[in-house]
Amino acid sequence: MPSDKDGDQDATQASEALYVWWLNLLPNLLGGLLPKATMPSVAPAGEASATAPFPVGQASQALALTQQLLEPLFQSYMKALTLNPEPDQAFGALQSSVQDQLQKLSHGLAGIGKTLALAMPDGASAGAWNLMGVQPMAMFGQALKPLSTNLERAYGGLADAFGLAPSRDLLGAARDAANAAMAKQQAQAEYLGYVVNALAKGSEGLMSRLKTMGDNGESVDSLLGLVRLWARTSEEALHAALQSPPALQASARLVRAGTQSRRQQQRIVALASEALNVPTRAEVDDAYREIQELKREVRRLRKAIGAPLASTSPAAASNGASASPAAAEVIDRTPPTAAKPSRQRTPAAKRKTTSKAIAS
Amino acid sequence: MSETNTQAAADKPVAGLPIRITAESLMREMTQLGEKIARGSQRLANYSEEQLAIATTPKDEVWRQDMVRLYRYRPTVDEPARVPVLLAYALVGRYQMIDLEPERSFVRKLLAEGFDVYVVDWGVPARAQRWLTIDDYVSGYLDDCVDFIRERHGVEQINLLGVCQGGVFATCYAALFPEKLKSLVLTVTPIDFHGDQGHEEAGAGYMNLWARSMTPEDIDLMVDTMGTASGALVGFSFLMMAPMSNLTKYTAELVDILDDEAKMLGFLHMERWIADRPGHPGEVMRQWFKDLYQANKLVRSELVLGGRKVRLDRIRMPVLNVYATGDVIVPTSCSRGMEGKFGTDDYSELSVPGGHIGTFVGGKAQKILAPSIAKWLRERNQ
Repeated sequence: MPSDKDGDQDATQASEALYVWWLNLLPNLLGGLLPKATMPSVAPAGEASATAPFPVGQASQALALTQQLLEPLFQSYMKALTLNPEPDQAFGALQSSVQDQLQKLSHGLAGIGKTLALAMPDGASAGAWNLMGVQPMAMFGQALKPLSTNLERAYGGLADAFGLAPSRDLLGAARDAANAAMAKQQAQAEYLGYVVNALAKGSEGLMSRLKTMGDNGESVDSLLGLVRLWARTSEEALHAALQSPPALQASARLVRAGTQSRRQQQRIVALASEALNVPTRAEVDDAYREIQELKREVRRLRKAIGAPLASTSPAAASNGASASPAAAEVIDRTPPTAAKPSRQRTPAAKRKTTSKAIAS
Repeated sequence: MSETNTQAAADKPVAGLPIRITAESLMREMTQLGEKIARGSQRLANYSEEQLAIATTPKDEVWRQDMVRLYRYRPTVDEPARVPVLLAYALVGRYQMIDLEPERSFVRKLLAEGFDVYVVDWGVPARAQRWLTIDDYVSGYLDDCVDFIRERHGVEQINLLGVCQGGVFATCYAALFPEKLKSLVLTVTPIDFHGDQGHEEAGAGYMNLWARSMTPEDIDLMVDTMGTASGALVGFSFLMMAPMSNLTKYTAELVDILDDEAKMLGFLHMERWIADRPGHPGEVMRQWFKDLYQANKLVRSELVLGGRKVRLDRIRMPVLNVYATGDVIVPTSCSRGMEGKFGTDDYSELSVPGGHIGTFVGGKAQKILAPSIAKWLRERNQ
């Protein structure tokens, strides 16, 4: 069982990985929108970042990334200004290019979704595989399916007689995992379709917001200001789109497909573990469940006999991972007051005052 | 936006859209941005661990069990109030939010108001804790903490203050062990998980909608597969509530605060807190999604913990319910207007400006929250 410190460290490391993933979304997202821009990616933290207190390294990376992201945007805008000297026309040209990219992306995703739907469960389109970056295992599983079905029919019983059932189970599990992975890719494509459409709506919203600003005598004077305005209108569009019933259903399908895919992967590991006589995830979890039930029982008994709240357990204190409630420890025994409360119930007296709002 | 200016109609651009970005202004902006980022990077490189530390209010660990710790903050007045206050934060984040920076510390303000303040740190659940239920937290750890404080101070009852999910735990506790509480303070706490229905608002209550879009079988499959949800996954679910804001936060917004020392430090402190996401025990998650988000059992007094029904009419101690007017994580329709849901005759509400987290760190909310709670507690602790 890890100590508290280890747990803290694990949580921080997991979150740092999330940071890098999240920051990488920026170039991935904007890279698809900006014309002919070479988009950067987040570089791994260097030595200086590694020694800097968290999250200085991450913020420095974000700043570097911001500069790298804005440069191609500046360049694209400058190019648009060269071709269209009026600022609003230059913006219009850039905007229409972004809209085109979004439309292409949207159509592409819709196509991928359909292709994957057709590909399941009997065939697969190489184009779709490449586009979505589906794991080779998925293709492999599909390719093996007819072969393994025939082998199963002809030699299944014989293989079992020679103790080869685990490998046959493993093959079946790999095939199921491949199908689950493909279903997950399809669900991802469907959900991404909603996201891309929302971004396109956000882009339209930006135009409409700009028109309103123009009517109100307001103007946008900087590219960063424009980016912020775009982010705001996109956020509004994303909220509206992703909270709609169809998008929520797509999200639920994605969660379902992702979970089922993970489950199939776990099944493969469980089969392999069983074959190697290594405790499986389910067995370990059963043991944890039993420990937890015993802890509850100890707690019930302790309270039933009115045992002292805590007993000292130096071993548990040292690693911070005591195994039972009985191992609770009082660290500071100095009582601010000496009196002891009774353990009898003292129902709170009802007040006569009624509900009121405190002015804020 | 700062770059927008209200201009006289005569100054408007000639053609359709009010874009005033010219080649010259673009070059100037790019140069200035480069200089600003260079200055900001330099500033960042000079920050020390001490400057970035959060939750620095002095405290002592007084009790521990498994991964749970109970801390007592060192009182800052000679004679603190006789009835202590126990703070219970949510499992989805760490308690340090209530003590983020010395100038933005809810805890320091409560101490300054003369209270004896304890906080329960739920710790970082690992895989072994996947079977922990809400009842294990409420009737187990929380009850032990309350008993410990009661014994230590020689009092029959203490004040319990819950935050968000910790507020739900506190509500359950108050219903199951009403005799041990002098008062109950709830902050940004969802009680009616279906309160948002009919009050839908874009950008608010995404988690409510998302949880209801799934079937109970989906939740079972998710929990059975994940066990303990990782901190990164919990963090991701919060990021997705405002995806664009969370992207621009590290770019356009970060650039904005580079020359502002206080804001920059505030940003880094907040990021440090955000990154420290503990995992979430699977069984708690199962109950949270199925019994609360989906079946809305708490407000209906149908929630069962450890074989006992959580009846809100048993909550007869004074209740103060604090909600944030701009809360998008717990829509106000889920937290406010709970008068009549509890058994108490002494129910009060306090609204604070800002969002969910802003309740504890926002400039305006800070001026209201601790003083109002302190006043309310004092009136009821006499």
